[in-house]
Amino acid sequence: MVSSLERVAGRITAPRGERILGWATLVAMAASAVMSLVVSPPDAQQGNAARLLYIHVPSAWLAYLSFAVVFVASIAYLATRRTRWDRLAAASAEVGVLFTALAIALGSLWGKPVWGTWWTWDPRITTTTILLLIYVGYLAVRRLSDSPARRARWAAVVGVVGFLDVPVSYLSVTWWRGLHQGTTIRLLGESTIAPIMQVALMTGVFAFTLLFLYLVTVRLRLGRLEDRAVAEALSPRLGQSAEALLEQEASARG
Amino acid sequence: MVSVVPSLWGYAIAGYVMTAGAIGLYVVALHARARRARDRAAAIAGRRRTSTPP
Amino acid sequence: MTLVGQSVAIAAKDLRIEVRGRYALGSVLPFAGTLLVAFGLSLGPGRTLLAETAPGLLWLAVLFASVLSSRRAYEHEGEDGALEGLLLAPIDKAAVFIGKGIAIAVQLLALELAIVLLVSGLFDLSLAVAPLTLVAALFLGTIGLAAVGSLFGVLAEAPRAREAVLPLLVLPLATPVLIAGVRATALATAGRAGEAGSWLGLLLAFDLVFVSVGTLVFGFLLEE
Repeated sequence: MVSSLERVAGRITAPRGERILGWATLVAMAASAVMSLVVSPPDAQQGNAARLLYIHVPSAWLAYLSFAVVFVASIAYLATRRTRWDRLAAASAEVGVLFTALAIALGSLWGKPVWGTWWTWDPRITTTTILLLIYVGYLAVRRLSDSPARRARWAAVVGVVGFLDVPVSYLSVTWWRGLHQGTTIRLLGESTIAPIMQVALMTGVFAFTLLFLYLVTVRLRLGRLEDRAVAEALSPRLGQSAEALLEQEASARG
Repeated sequence: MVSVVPSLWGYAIAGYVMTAGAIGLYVVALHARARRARDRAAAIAGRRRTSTPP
Repeated sequence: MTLVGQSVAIAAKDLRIEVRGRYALGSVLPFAGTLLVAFGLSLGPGRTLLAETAPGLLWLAVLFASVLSSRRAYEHEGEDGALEGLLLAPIDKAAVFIGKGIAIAVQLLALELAIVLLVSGLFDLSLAVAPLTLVAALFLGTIGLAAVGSLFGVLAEAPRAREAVLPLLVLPLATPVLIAGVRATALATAGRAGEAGSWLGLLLAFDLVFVSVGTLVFGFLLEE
């Protein structure tokens, strides 16, 4: 199953696949912008500020999606020791940090007119902030080691442990806000959301998911190119690429 | 740009501009990094092929 | 030797190094004391504010002490190729994690005794209301902090390691310990120890997650 998954992934990340994915993302993002800014009506209480929903929620979705991908890729790396899993974890973590920061910034921007403050220690905001800090730490760990294999192993451990920390953090922050104070603050009541707004939100989530795939694809290509530069520099014999040498060695060994 | 008129367009526009800016900058930076890495790999490979063996 | 025996041997080795070098006593404790005085200077001299924030200040001092102790636990392994020796020894890698965790926990508990007395003296924290709850919170919190520190302390020994990486990693991961520890301490000192049960449970859950996951994944950090 893993190998067929890898084949599909390989097809998407080929140069032509990357270009098609890029255009599809652009079209979806444009459709989402039209749905969010033109088609969808302003909210009865929050006016046009409620339009931030259509980018805030997809950003937060990408934040959690990407760290889940880091978790899975980290386990896959530790199990198989194949560099592609490490590259996937690195790519997904970088994209995840971007969208976590974006989700927090957009939430803050939305909170100002609705709650009258840029910041509130709401459980979800606080947990997302802790998540951001954990994965900033993850990216820092990736810069620690000179050895690619060690870097991959260390990062994978942080990727696994960091993700397992999230539910415990969420629980602690929720209780900390007050076990007895009732529910958390909601920006929009889920039940009161109009159908047209739901469609706009779904379009946004879809467009951002495509964007995630595109960004990870480009970031994976960057990782491969960086690895190739290192391999070329370390290639022991002149006039031969490192990969060819590795293949020779493998066939000689039988 | 952020104006506190009842329509609250300012907040929405600020958010969308910020999102587009962040994503756009990241895409441009990714492509620039990829181009640099490719050029570096090609330069190293080229240098190795043209230099004489010891 | 069993896993327990190996772990105890490593813990004993680390504690012997501490007894001979007195790093926790000579550097970490004075640092924690300085930190507490600095907290007092920045928040005082009003007694009510200091008393209200005392549980938080107590746990911040513990948290920073744990970062320093875990850094120290691997610092001496970097000298004279000691880490390579540990890797070549015919022991389970998990024993290194557990043993170092025990050593860090023992040092932290000793430090906490001093820190608690200092906080009680400086900020009027009443220890006698529910001492058992207080001890339970400190004990459970220490296990969690020691597990996180024992797991990631080894990263601070990387060739390109920077001083800030360990706290950057440990502080966000230890958020549950900070929150639950502070809440349980606040309840215990305010005479509402009966409500601290769920916080102690949370600390226990954190301990279980980090001790078990740490035991499973620690070997991957050490492999060469």
